[in-house]
Amino acid sequence: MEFHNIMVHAVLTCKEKDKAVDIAKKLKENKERRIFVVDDNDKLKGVVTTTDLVYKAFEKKDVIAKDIMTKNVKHVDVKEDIEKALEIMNEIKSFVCPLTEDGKVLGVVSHHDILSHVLGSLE
Amino acid sequence: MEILKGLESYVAKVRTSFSGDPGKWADYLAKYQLSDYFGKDSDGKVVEKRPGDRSLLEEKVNEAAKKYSEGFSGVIRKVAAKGTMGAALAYQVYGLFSNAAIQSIGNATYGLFVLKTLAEAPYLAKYLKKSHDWYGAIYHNLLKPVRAAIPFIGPAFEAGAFERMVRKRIMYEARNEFLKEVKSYVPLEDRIKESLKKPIGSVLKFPGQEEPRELRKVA
Repeated sequence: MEFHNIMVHAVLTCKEKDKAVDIAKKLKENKERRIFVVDDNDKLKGVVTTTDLVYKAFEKKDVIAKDIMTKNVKHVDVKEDIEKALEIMNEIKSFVCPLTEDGKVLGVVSHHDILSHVLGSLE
Repeated sequence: MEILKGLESYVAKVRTSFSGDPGKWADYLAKYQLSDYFGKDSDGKVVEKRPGDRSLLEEKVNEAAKKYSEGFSGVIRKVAAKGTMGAALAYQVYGLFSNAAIQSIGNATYGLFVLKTLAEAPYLAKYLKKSHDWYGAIYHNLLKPVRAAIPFIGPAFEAGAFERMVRKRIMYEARNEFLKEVKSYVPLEDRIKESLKKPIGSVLKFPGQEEPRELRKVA
């Protein structure tokens, strides 16, 4: 079996003060469902999903990312082991886990890629 | 290519399981399952890379064969297996030259298969207790309806199916024991745990990047 590295998938980012309407446009243009909120140093502050937009920002004026984002996003740091990423996915019931390096967002890793990597390394 | 290799290995395993010669089992293991330890000479014959490995492998095969030699060659099981399948085959051949209904031949075949299964049940239980080879036992039983549905060849295959299941287990255990002896056997659970304990930064690949990210960059 071929050895697979774990692919880091690119993600969208925005700032805390970005307007909800702009975030919605960005998500639509990129056909994405989530956008990570970062500060000026690219450190992860939260995440805004399409669900947040529908339930927290719909028909409201001047809503910004900070108002609707989910804070304290679980993420795995590049120094942590692969198992931690799987634990987080299990905890948040998701097939992807945000990946950071010293708090800065690098992207997301998927359950599928981790499984391919583990199976490939068994040979 | 990988699929073809896998298929070739599977076919060789099935062919080897038809043979009662432990030498052929060792040949199969050396050629397909332990190719890291055995090579091929110019004539395509399997040769050991390290002196003594071939005799060690044969020793492990014989040890595993001895483990399963007692209690599985029961007269009742053998007579039931050969008798029922012989009868099924004979009845199917008779069906070719007589006016017997296909339905009645089919029913008789299924009945004889059930009889054989019942006769070998105590031996299967004994085998499971000794080997814990649930996969082999389930595979063996799941194939029964398939074999029963194939005229002539089905009963012939079924007659020696139990022996073939045991032989496959012998080869599996001999391989593991050989690897344990040469100190390279790591249980699957440990290998999975080990691969999950690696820092994720050491195996990452970024879009457009061929090689994995080096750990020193992120440490």
